[in-house]
Amino acid sequence: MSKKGPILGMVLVAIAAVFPWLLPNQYYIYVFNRGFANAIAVLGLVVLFGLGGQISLGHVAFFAIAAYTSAILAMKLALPPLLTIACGVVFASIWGALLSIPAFRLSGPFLAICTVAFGEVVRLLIVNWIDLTNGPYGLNNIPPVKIAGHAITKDIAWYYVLLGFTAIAAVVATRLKHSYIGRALMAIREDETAAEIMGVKVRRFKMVAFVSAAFFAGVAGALYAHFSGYLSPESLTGEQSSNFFSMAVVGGLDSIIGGIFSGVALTLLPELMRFLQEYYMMIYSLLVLIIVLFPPEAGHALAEWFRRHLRITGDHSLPGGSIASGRNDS
Amino acid sequence: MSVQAILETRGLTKTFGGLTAVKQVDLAVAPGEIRAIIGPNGSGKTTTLNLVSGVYAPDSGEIILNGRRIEGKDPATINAYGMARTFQNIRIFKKMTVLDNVMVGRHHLFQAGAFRVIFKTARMIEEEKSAREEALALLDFVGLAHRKNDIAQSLPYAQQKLLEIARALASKPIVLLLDEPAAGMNNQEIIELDQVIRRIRDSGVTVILIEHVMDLVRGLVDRVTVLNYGEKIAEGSFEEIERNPDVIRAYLGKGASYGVKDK
Repeated sequence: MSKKGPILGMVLVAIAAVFPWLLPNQYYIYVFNRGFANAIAVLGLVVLFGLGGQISLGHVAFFAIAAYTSAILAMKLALPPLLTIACGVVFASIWGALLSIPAFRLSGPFLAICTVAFGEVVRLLIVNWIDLTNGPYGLNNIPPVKIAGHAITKDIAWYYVLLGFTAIAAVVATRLKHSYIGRALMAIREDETAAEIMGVKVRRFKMVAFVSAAFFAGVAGALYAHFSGYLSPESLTGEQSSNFFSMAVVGGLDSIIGGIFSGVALTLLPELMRFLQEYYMMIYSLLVLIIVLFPPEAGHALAEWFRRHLRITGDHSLPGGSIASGRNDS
Repeated sequence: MSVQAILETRGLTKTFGGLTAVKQVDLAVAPGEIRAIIGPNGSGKTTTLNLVSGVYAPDSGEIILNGRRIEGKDPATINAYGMARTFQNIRIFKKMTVLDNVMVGRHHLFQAGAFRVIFKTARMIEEEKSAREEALALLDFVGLAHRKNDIAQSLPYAQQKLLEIARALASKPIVLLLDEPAAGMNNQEIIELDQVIRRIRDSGVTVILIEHVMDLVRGLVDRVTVLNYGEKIAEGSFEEIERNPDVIRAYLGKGASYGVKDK
């Protein structure tokens, strides 16, 4: 890690800190909050897939487990939300460790199917375990987080809390990446046999990768439950897992700053593309596809497209070149 | 052998289906020795290396590294016990930097847990720093220091082989196994490789290499073990084995340029 890293990080946090004052309305702050939560979840995939090469198409399951655990504990047992968030994250991480067991033997498409199945099982449990989760109706009025006796309810307050969490998550992910742990994960991604020959206990580090994935997604999910105040299985489908995956891919896979940018940007994008109506998903998918197929060139092309597009609409709320700069800076 | 062997196999046997790839192989390599294992293709050389390094578990037999039984242990554990190796087909971590490749080699020497990594404690910073310095010294040792920040796959073939050796050395092995290190190298590169292997030996590491390039083997190694159809058919100095009729018949061949023309 170069010495530029921390400085760049602080500059970005400072820019993000003044952002809410430039936004046209409150709704965008809420969208940004969702963007931050998604960005934190994406960091889990950056560690799992970007570094460790272990595919997960059921990433939303960890998000959901932590979100529901925290919400249910806070609602039914009236525990303080800061405590329930921690419980949710721990519980999700345990499931991360368990999901790493099939990864000891499976890889590529086989592991992918396994993780899809895991995501579906979790979703179906949420839909059908009505006593606990209120099923398809979802959970309403999830209590807000209290810090020093003050309930955090306003979106703008959450914005700063989430910005803080995102920054901390980025630091944690960066430190993992630039340590022997990150190098061991990359070695497993590159060549499992060679990694093992060089002393990397492959099973242990696959577990580390899955626990990290679940940890980041869990933090995101548990925070989401309390700032949105509402949870429903509708938003926790395989589609959301694919979204997380797209975000990680667009962010450059093993780039932490790229993952955060694309997590935020691809959450904002649907809002900015509302004028496209039902074509939104098609355009969005197409953009992601282009990036996947032609990594560096397409990234630049997309960034260029954004710059022009934003100039035309005169909307300055989106960090327009962010996808490209994310790729370049890291 | 008067000195106690640093690496020893006794009755090492491995079968794949109906094929006995390695059959009752006894090896005893002395500390500080450079040993070559030669033999025709399919004679069980690489399988022997795979058994010794833990890629496969033997069907029967013992493997003793520095007085410790290691047969059937996993490769990561065997590496931590002091064995490192390279591969016949280069298996560097292609998309990692040259320096990171070597740093991975040092993996088992890292002590700090995840907690220390995340909170970046002084001990963790110190550990990372000294690991980096040692990795750079190893890159210098094989002559790749100038390429430390390059992506490993951008190196030319011979340099990738040297990188693999540096990565193996990073785990501070007692015994280093090299699987055809000279394959695909030109004469100049082989001369450099020869020097590198000698310096490795001089640093106190025992070296075992599988090699088909007899120009390298002849001047470099102390002893040669010859395998054929999974069995050991000869052992001795290069001069001894190149005169051995069994070895000539099985491998070196009559009239080949191995100094046996007139026999």
